[in-house]
Amino acid sequence: MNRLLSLEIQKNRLGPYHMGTLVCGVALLAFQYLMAAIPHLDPTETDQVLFSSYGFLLGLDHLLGMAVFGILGGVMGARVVVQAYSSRGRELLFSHPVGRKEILGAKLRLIYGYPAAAMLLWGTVTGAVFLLTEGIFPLCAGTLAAKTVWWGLCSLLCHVHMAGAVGILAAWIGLCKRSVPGTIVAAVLLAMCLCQVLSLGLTWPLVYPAVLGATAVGVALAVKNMGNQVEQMEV
Amino acid sequence: MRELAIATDTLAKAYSGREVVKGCQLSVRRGQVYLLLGKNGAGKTTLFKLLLGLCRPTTGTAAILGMDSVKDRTNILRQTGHLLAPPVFYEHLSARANLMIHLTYMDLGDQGVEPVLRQVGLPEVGEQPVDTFSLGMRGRPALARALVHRPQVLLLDEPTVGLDPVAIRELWILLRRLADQEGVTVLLSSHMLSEIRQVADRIGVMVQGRLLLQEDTSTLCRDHPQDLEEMLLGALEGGIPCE
Repeated sequence: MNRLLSLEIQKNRLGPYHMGTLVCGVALLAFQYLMAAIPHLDPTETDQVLFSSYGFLLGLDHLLGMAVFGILGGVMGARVVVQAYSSRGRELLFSHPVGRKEILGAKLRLIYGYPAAAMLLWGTVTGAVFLLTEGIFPLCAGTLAAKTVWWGLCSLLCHVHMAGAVGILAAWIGLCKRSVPGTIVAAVLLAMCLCQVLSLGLTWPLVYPAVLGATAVGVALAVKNMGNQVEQMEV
Repeated sequence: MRELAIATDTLAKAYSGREVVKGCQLSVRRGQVYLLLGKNGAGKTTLFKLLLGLCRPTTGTAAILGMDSVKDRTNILRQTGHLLAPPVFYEHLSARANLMIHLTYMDLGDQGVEPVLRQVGLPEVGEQPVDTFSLGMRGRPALARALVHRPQVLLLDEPTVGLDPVAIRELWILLRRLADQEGVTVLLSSHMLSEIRQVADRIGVMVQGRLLLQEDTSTLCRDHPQDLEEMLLGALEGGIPCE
């Protein structure tokens, strides 16, 4: 399976995705500081307590990161899956003496793993840099407790999975519709919906395991269905 | 009788009720060069796809080296080299990279890449992306990909498209050598009636999805010493009864 994954990486130019990840990561870091600075920028802000809370700020940044990298995963899915299984592309894929589901599995590992890894990387970097600078020059009035850091880690892991799940689910929708633009639109809509739902988790943490479970089931069903579609495809 | 390398039994394929291949009874012996003739839209490419397991037959069966094209398609793809027209590649990659990917999928090393690139006349341009190749040049990496893993059976759908006359002649010499010296079975489709005597051991004529004629070239040449091409042209128009 690693051989197939490395072949997928070789076949698909990841340079633009690396650049996109870098730009998004820097934007996330800037967003983190912007949100932390809101109480200073707008003293009349009614939710000052929220924007002074480390837990809220970390969660908000994870939410945005999940949306951004999830959409990146959807764009990747559009190219790596939907376009690859177009009428001409599938002739090339199916001509290799490897099981069709195995090749699909490698593709899905890529479009789940890449945004998830990007989210994990930049979520960690953003959080670490922000908390480090807070120790030197604090913007937040709140206190940083071990419980907050622990909650931040759990939130990050949840959003890491969501970022990968958006790509998989968007690819499934795009494959069903045989549409590359449809895949990207689906990724945007899925990211928006998940943001709305997961924002409840900022104040009600039980939302996270519920959504995690639901998306895990959704991803499993989507993967199974995509495997069946690919097996039945003809050139 | 030599064992059959490629065999179909009442093979048929229909798309939306329209039969593209009808009741095909193809038989190609091991080490034989079988030339399949047919007009555009006769069903030749669909027949190749059925043999390779790239699409499922509506009725009937197809087998290569005794392996069923539906149940053993992965093994068939491992044992055969194929070229379907027009060839498809990973366009942004070079011919060499395309071959290496193909070999990696097969879990084979890359030792055969350089010799086969020389064999098809691509040693100098093997590093250029395939999307920079002209139509005629694209046939060469496709042929290289069919040959690089030294398959036992070759399925070549119009391999001469875009090739210059010298390259075509080299291709025929190569295919004859593979068949005569290495026992490779070759099934190819072509419009090149003039080259039949030099290339093919056996000829099939496909008309509107049906294989109307299958005969050894020697028999056809004996029966039609002066007008073989005219007879085949007439067969392509549907004028020859079934075998």
